[in-house]
Amino acid sequence: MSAHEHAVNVPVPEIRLGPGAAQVERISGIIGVIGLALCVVGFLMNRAVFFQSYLFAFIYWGGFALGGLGVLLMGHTVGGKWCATSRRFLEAQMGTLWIVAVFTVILLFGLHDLYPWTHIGDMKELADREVLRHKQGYLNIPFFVVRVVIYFAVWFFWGLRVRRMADRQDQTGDPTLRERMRAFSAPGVLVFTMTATFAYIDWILSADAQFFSTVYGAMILIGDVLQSFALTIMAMILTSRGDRFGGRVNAIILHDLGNLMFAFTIFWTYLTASQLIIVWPANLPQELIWYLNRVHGFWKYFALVTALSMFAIPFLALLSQTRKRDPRRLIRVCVWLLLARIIDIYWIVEPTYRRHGFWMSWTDFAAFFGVGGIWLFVFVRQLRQRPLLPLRDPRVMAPLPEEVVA
Amino acid sequence: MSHELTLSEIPAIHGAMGEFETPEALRAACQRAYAEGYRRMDAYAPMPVAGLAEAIGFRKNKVALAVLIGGICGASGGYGLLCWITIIAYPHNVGGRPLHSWPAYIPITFECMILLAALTALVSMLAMNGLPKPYHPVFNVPAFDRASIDKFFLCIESTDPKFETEDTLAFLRDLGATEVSVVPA
Repeated sequence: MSAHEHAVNVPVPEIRLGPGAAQVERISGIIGVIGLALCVVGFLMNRAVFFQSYLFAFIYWGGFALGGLGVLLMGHTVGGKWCATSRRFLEAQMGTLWIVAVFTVILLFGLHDLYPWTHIGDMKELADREVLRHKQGYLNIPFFVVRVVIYFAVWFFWGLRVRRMADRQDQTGDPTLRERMRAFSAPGVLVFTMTATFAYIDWILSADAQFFSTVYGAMILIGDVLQSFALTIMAMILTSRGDRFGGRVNAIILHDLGNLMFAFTIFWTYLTASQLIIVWPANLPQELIWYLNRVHGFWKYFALVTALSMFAIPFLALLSQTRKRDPRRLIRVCVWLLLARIIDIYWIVEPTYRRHGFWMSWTDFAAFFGVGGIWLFVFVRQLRQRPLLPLRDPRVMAPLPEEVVA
Repeated sequence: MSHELTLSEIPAIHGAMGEFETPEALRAACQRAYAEGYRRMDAYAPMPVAGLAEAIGFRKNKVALAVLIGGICGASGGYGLLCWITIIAYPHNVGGRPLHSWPAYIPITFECMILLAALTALVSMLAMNGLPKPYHPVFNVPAFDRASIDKFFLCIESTDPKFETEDTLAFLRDLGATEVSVVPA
């Protein structure tokens, strides 16, 4: 351990993103602006369909911000080299919360188009109307807005404070900060998980008048964590090419992160399957409707593809130890999961509105690339502003020699 | 030399053992012994030493493969059992559901997979690492007790084709061992 302690006083060299990243930032910004401009056209043509597309894009891209914050808090709580090394990428995802907040404000203009509880009076389905009348105390527009404010206040509080402590660690190397970040993050995991659960019930689940499921929020949130891991690992592999990090992003770190991604693949499957296993045997109409909408007509192929691409294929791929240690093979799993998650979110969000069968609108693409371009722009910008590795975290500072070999 | 018997008095030899002061010294010695062509050897340390297993040529074991096969057998066995029960042996109409109701099979299929995978892991681990082992010759060296306290040992076994008692002892001394001894079988 002597080599380890010896290195504590030597900060990690500052490595920042190069001009290639600035190029990515610019291109995604342009794509985002074009996409949003098309969204305006879509909004003027058919605002209901536009908001359906927008909700899907919002949930997918916003998921990185929430997933990043969740993994960051979890990582600080449990410790470990994997989190210290990948922290900047998680902090950058968390740092996009402000743009997600802006996107949420846009969402507020579509409440009438998205959520049946905003217009109970006009509803034709008597059963839906009756159920929603009883949910009125919770599902009403003022309280919805208040909740959105609370969610973001909580997330900003935890996310920004933990990032400020990380910045202070970079400057001073104060050894007590590590414990303070841990003590601060642990209750954050709890509060974050609960607020995110409520947020997803508000944003997606409440579009279904009758369906309810206690595992729902966690199911979406764990998928967010999974996509956040996939993006983090992908970004780490891409930025550490040519061993720019001097062996600090090595096979052991990738193995750890790959194992976590594997674990969250299983966790996502567990939650998704347990909801089905509870709803299916009970056979209650108000619960089944959610699944019936989602296996109706062409949608059933979405269900099948989601099960294969989010569970079966990444599960089998990540079983292999050698794949998790090989950056070139691991990055393919990451890209796969990021694409699979698009289908998953689309299948979760859209069938509620397109219950008579599958159809797509061009605004789905416009919103996806519009929101996505802007999101990516903010993400890369966040990543570019700070060094890619924490400068004075003892867990990152010096790789042990045998780890470089492995 | 800490052993009491002289070389000619030892009836059978398990191997030659060298004692090292630090994990780094042990790992370096293992790497050199492996490079010299020694293969049948074992290293002993009071705590996990990163890279030590790789240094004595340990690459991969078959436990993972056995667990995978066990898991597949468990899953398909569990699923097959349920199919047989609900479709062939005792077909029942439960609320109008099809006889082959796969969502209801998932928990039991999963549990069977875990059960068989875990049992395979335990049994194959024991079968492959040779545990439980009530007698091991390395304990015949009195100083070896400190392998669980503060010393690090490398034992080159006599079954190694390159093993020549005197030469191997000299080689271990050459590697920087502070003490070398012959291990009676």
